[in-house]
Amino acid sequence: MILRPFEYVECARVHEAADVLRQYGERARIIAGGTAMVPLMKHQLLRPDVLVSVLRVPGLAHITRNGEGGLRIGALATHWDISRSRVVREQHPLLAYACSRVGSPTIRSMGTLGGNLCYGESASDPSPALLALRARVRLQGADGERIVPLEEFFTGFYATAIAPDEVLTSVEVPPLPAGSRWKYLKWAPRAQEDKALVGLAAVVVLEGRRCQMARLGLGGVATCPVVLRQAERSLEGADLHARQIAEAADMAAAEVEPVEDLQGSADYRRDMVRVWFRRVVSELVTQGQHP
Amino acid sequence: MQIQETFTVDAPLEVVWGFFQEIERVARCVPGVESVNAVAPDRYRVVVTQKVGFISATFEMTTQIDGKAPMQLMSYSSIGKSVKGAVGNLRSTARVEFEALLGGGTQVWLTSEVAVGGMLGALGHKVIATKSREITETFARALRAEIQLAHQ
Repeated sequence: MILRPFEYVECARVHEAADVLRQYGERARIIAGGTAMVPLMKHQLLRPDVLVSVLRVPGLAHITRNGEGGLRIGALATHWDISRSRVVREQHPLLAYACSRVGSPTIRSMGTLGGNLCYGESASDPSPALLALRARVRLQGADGERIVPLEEFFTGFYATAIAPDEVLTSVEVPPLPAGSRWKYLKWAPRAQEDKALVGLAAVVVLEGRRCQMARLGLGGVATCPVVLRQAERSLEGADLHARQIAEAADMAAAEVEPVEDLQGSADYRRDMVRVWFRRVVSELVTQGQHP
Repeated sequence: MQIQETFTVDAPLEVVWGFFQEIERVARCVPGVESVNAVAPDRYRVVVTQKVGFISATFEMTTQIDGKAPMQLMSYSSIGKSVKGAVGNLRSTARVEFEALLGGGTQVWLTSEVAVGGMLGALGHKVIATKSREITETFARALRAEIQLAHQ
């Protein structure tokens, strides 16, 4: 399929990109790795007149430790970069693992974390992990910068809180509490590189079987990636035996509003949340952390 | 995909039925409708824009009244394609049934069937289900408000 003509603007600074976005409004779209944008354009679901590239903006692909002991991941870091980064694997192996589960090697080496989040896809792999890690995103507009918790960034079906003239510049990931265990489990019915029908990320801190802290992010089920708040509260302070885990799993299944598509009905997705939840939490209790 | 919605209006059946004969007014209760023009008896050209997330499309539709049973039901069908934004086409049918209530109000049932073609339909099954339900709910709320306002 041939792309219709468009203007290509390559920016060297974030505020230049924000200015162009403000100038053209909805007619302009930002592009980085292009793994989401180009197929959308080929299928004519998006027909921008102007593509604003931020690929040449210096520093946007850096992965560094931030002041609070966590990580700052530049929006242009690719899934491949993140999954292979030593500092991410040491400090946030959950995120490294989730990024290693994105699509195919080609997609992982071209697609960027910033692009993945701005796409707002429910079935994103990094999003549930970042929700469980309570990450925040930095958004730079022509009028300045703001920091938004990722949970508030996703607002609906392919919808985010980013303004039309803002650029997502980095993701701030707070440090994991000591003794955290983690797991990300993805259910893709056909092939491993498919999008998740259910992707559940969990971070827990346990003392014996007593749950001190639970953080749960879910992708692929609702209109956007979500935090399972009620299930988290149900786990925290409880002794995690099979019955308690099953009750929390029921709560998780009840608190989501599943969408349905050709891959699975809403009821099927809800059932899979219950199954995945029990499996993830039980394995964290009995086996400790591992993918 | 079928969507059903029901609501009551604090107005007699005759008033509600009369309102539904004015298609332009009914159409304006549909969120996203930009223009409605009669092109023939019981046939209208409707331009509607819908947006979900970053995907938006403006459809040019031809809507016609397929059947009427006075004070009981009306049925419509629409067909059109996008003229701006995401490429796709859309086909829908709607059936509206009326029943007089004992207290003087009217119960209205809406049943609509929506099909979206092209890549928009292939990608957007999830969104169409969600969005169609949202549109129907908003439409029902707007209709009720409009009829009651006209009746006061």
